This record gives sequence, C-alpha cells and structure tokens, in this order.
Amino acid sequence: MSDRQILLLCLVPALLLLALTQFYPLAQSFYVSLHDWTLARSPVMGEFVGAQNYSRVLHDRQFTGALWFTLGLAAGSSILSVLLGFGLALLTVGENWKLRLSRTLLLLPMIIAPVAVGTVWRMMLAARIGPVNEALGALGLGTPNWLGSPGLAQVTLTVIDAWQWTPFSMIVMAAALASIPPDILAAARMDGAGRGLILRRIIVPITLPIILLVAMFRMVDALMTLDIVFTTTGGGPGFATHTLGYWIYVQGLRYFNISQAAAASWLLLALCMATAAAFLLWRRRIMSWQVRQ
Amino acid sequence: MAAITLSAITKRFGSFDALQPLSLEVQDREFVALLGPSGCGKTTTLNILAGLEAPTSGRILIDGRDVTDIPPMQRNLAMVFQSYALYPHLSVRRNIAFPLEVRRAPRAEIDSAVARAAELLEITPYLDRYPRALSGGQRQRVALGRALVRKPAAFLLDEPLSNLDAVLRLQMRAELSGLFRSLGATALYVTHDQAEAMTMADRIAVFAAGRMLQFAPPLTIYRAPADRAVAAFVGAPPMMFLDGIVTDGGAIQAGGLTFPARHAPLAPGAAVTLGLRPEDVSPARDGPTAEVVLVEHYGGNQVVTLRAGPARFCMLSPPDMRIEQGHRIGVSVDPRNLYLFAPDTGRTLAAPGLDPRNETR
Repeated sequence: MSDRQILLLCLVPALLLLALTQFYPLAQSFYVSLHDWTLARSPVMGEFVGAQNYSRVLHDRQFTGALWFTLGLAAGSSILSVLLGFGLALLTVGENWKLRLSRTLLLLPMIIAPVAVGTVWRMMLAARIGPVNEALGALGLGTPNWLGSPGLAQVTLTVIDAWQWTPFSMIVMAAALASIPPDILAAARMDGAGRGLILRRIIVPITLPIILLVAMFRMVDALMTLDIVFTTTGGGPGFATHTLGYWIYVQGLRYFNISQAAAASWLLLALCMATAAAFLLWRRRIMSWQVRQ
Repeated sequence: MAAITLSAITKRFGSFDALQPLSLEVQDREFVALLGPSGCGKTTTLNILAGLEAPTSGRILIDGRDVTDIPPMQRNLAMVFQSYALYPHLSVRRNIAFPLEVRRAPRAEIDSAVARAAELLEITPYLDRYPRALSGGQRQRVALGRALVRKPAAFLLDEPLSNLDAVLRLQMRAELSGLFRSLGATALYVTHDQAEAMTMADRIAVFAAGRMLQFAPPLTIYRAPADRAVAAFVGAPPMMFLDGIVTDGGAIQAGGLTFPARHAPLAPGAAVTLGLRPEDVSPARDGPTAEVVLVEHYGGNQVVTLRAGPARFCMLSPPDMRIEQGHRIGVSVDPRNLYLFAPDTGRTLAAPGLDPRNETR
C-alpha cells in the first residue's frame, strides 16, 4: 500500500462523519422539499409533489417581499461595511500603540454574539424609553420610531448589520493594506502622485481582489440574516423586516410547514451560491495581473 | 538636470543618531555614489533628499532652491528602488507612463515618451506584460524606464542592482554607467558594493555609522583614503592592517618584517598601523620571507595569504606563478605604496595618493 493510499484511508472516518452530518441532512431536506409535509397535520411525510412547493413559495407575496428586503439588506449592509471597513483600515493602518488600540476597540462589535447585538440595539433604539431617542428628544430633533415604522425599520436593521460586521471588513482590509510594499507607495509619491491619486490609482486597485472577497463573504452572510431580526423587530412591523431566513424559520418551526421551509431553504442556498459565484468571477476578471503569463 | 546641496543635514530616530551633520555638494551632471555598509546612513540620506523622510535639521537645495519643506512630488526627482517598486496591477507600459499620467500629460506625448524609454532600455517586447511576468533584470529596466520617462532634476538610485544575479549585475553596471553618461544626468547612487562605486561614480561619498568619512573621486578614495575605515572598505581583496613600529632608520617594522618607508612621518619608536593592498605586495627573491597560509586561485590571478610572526597579509600574484601552501616566499613592497595610519585615531599618515610634503591632507 502506498503512502498516498494510507493517507486516504486515514481520511475515511472524517469523510464519513462529514457525509453523515453535512450531506445527509442536505439530501434529506431536498427530499422533503419535493414532498407535501406539514407537521401540524401529520407526523409522517406526505406524497411526492414535484416542484409544487417551490412554485408555491415563489408565488407567496410574503416570501417575495422577504426576498426583496433581504437583497436590499444584504447589498446595503455589504456596501456600508466594506466602505466603512476600508476607511477605518486606512485610518488605523500602522504599528504604534494608539493605532493598535483603536483597531482592537473597533473590533468589539464583531465579537459580540449577534443575539446580544440585536437585544442591545433594541433597547438603545426603543421609541420612547431608549437612550438614543431620549438624547435626540432632548436636543429637539424628534423621536423617530426606529424599529416600529416599516421603511425606517428596514434601514435600521441594515445599519445594525453593517455596524456588527464592519470590523470583519476592517481587519481583512487592514491586513491587505499592510501587505502593500511601502516602496510602491514611496515610488508613487516620487512619481508625483498625491494622496487621493495614490488611493485611487494604486491602493484601491491593488487591494480590489481582497475587497471583492470581503464583499462576497459579507453579501452571502447577510443573505442568511436571521438573528438580528429575531431579537429586534421579530420580522415586523407587519412583514416589513422578514428576511428569507426569518421567513423560513417562521414557516418551518412556527407553522410546521416543513416542506415549504425546505424548498425556501434550497432557494436561499441557490441565491447564496449564485452570489458567491458572481463575485468570484468578477474577482477573477480583475486579477489578470496576478497571474503569470 | 541640477546641482544638489545638502547642508548640515542630521537625522535622529528617537535617541539614535542615524545621520551626523552632513554637508554634500553634488554638481550638475555629476554621478555620485553613496558608499557604505548597511545601516551607515546612505539610504537615509537618499530618502531625505527625495523627501520621503524629513531631516531633523539642515537644509536641502536643488539648483539653489530650498526644497527642505517641499513634498516629494514637487521636487522633480526620480527614484529607482532596490525592490524596483513596480506597480503590480499595471502593465509595463502603464508603469512607465504613470509619472506622466499623474502630470496629465497629453496622450500622444505619453505614448512617444514611453516608446522612447522602452527602446532605449530594450523592453519594447514586454510593454504589455505585467511586472509579475518579468525577470529581475527586465523589472530593473522597467523601473529605470519609469524614472527616465520624465525629465527629472536628478536621479536617485537605491541599490538598484543588488537584487540581480552576479553576471547580470556586471552587465547592468556597465549599461547604467553608459546610460547616465549619455544622458548627462545628475545622479545619486546608493550602494554597498565598492566595485559599483569605483567604476560608475565621478565622486564617491564613503559613509560609516551615520557619518560621511570622505567625499572624493574614486582613485583619490583608493589611493588617498582619509582614514583607516575608508581604506578598509574600498578595495577587493581588502587592505590588510599590521601593527608596526618606526625603526631608528626610518623603516617600519611589523610582524617580524621590515618595510623600507620612503617618508617616515613619525619619530623612531612610534607605533603606527601599516596598511598593505594585496596588489602592492609582490613576490621577491631577496626580500623578507613570509609563510604561505592559503592560496586562492581565481584563474586570472591568485590571492595568497601570508603570515609573518603575528602579522597576516595578502598578496595578489600572477596566475602562472607556482606558490605552495606551507612554503616560505620572499616578498617586497614598493615604499611608495605603503599606507600608514595613526593607531589611535585611524587618521591617514601616509598614502600613495598623498603628497608626502603635505601630510595634513
């Protein structure tokens, strides 16, 4: 037996475990999504219905509403956190104790559990007793109902999500910025470029592959948002802040509509994969300079 | 092109004096090498001149204009970095064009300037490649092209050849030398390679430990070094030093050997450090003898390490002479070619390039 075969043999238990815990549930959920099964009616799976669950989900106004809100939230939160993260990384790149301390402090939102983030923000933004509105009211700036009015609640959730994940974007960008050889920046200065030009023509293009990677992670992650909705608005007011994740949760675990929840999950998975693929293709197109000819 | 004056420049990093007060005048169209071991302040000097670092004190003048507080982009100096510092995301063409694009030069002017620089440096076939796809030598040329493409007041080169392999380095050395001579360009060239400094520069500024030790033409540096440190740094194989004493007859006695000195600058009995360049030592039938410790044959010549008492020194001898390790051979040194240094300060007391009647140098 060759070394390679022995190594493969050693991998078998891990692969089996992975198959059991990852692929079996996935396959099972796909199987369920093709059948009629509502736990409230029967503990046993019903008959095969083909793509009916998918078409029913796609014709559900609440689902499509959730889809649009989720896309908006994901796009808004990704763009915000990428821009803010890049800006903060630019401001805190370098090695002295002040910069290091600022980086550490700026990282805090990311290491708080999302559920806690939601809870804290819900209390902060409470319409009548929250500290945010108390301060605004005292300044005579009005007391908007951050989580209570439909349009504003959607914006608020987007901002909270961006707030929580900007640090992630910041640390990755900081690493990317730190990896630019200082000589290149010095060369640009010698060549006559000012700060703005160096940023636009040198720093952004060189870090763009990493920016796109961060954007991809952020986007896919935000498409699956559930926890913040759960702890702030509960999907309300009305259905205004239902994300796809929240819709699936409500369908499956509150109404026990297992087969439709499974179908919606697969649609969400497809959306995430398509998004990731789009970003990776885009990234590959702009990275021609990193490939040896 | 322009003349450059550094006047009493100093640089401190915290409590570390990176640069002692330094004054240096580079003439228009002059090629000056800043030579010294790493950490001696030569790159700091170049960065201060470029404007990439601010001096702690002192003034910088380019063609009489004080540029001390002017940012690098307005100094109109071009720099070539040791790492080449090419923009990885731009093609060779765009790399070379960058300084002109930044200045919003007209497209046609940029294109013709890039074409001219590329032709001069023989990189026209690579214009549409990215730096990653180039060899070290090609990258070096692109970096030069980026510096040449505009008309800078002066070129600053920071060890531009040190990342190339030995053969290519020799070839580029000759090319660079010719290039800058034909351009009639003012250039400051930082290097730790004394051969580069000797062969390329009009004048060499020798640095050590943040201080400029001497600023003179290459042969003056070689034949009339200001002190022992300069003498030790320039020359390959390097000068060897022997502790000696001035005899009653005015000769120098060192390590059991006596070297007739033409001009003994010191009173009999005084201690002196004797410096011998390997090419100044030659085999002799009737000279004092020394033991052969090591023979290194380079094909074209051989370097023989000799021992006489506690003293060790080297001799450069012709390739066809048969010299056996362990044997004793006679050596002689032309009295005119002795270097003498003060043992305490290292100051040069006598050197072949110095007028013996003017020993204050």
